[in-house]
Amino acid sequence: MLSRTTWVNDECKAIFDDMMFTETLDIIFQVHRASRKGYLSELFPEDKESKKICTDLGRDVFGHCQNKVQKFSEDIDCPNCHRQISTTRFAPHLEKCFGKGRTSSRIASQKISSAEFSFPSHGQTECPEDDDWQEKKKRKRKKESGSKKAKKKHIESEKKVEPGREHDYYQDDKSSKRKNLKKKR
Amino acid sequence: MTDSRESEADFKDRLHAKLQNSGELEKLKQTLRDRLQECGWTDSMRKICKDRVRASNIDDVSIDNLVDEVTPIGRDQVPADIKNEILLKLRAFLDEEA
Repeated sequence: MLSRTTWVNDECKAIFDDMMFTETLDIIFQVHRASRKGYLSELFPEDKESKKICTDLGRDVFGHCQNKVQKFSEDIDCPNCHRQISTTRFAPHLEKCFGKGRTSSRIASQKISSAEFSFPSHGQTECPEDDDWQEKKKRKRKKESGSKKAKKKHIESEKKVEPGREHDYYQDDKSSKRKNLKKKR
Repeated sequence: MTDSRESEADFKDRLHAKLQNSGELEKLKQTLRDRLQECGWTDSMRKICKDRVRASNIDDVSIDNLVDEVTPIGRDQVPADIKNEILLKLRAFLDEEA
């Protein structure tokens, strides 16, 4: 049988160990939760890593890259020409690449007509119907250009030329048409 | 013999209950907490835990692992004077009640 003093001493030690365990557990819970929730670095602001100054070339003191231009989009492989195209320019590129857009078809037809002009024999295709079609297109284009010129002259005669805006009448048909629409409104 | 053992166990429970109900246990816990904070034990333990967490993967970090690793270190690192202070107070209380 243990003496009273020994028993009391043992009892005190047990209680003290219990108290120490509670304190340790408290700290463990704190750190564990911080690590799980992701705010461990905030718990230790005196960490030297945050105070380190970056002295690398091309970077600022916080370690961020100095180049402001950052690529936010990935490049896409064009299925036609197999080039890397930026996503923002992909649709217009496809239009030109496949030759289905307005601009590309206009450019293509202009090229064809210029090729015909320089090599008239070339312009005649094997199929006579195609020739007729091309001639029709030419006639149509001539008509359109003629009517546009008439419109232009009409506008010029109506309007006063504002100082500094003479150059406006030498722009594309599109822009003049747009201005006409605006004026009508 | 069995009677004395039972009475010893009951005596133990009574003492613990007395310690708790009188508020002495809470007072001693607060004293211990303050002493450990003053001497820097709490900060040291927090740093040890943080280092353990950062050294291992986030998946390996569990409360049980941390407890197994850190508790013995904590027990060893307690300054002797704080330990003696608390033990003395406990002993005085137990002697009084016994």
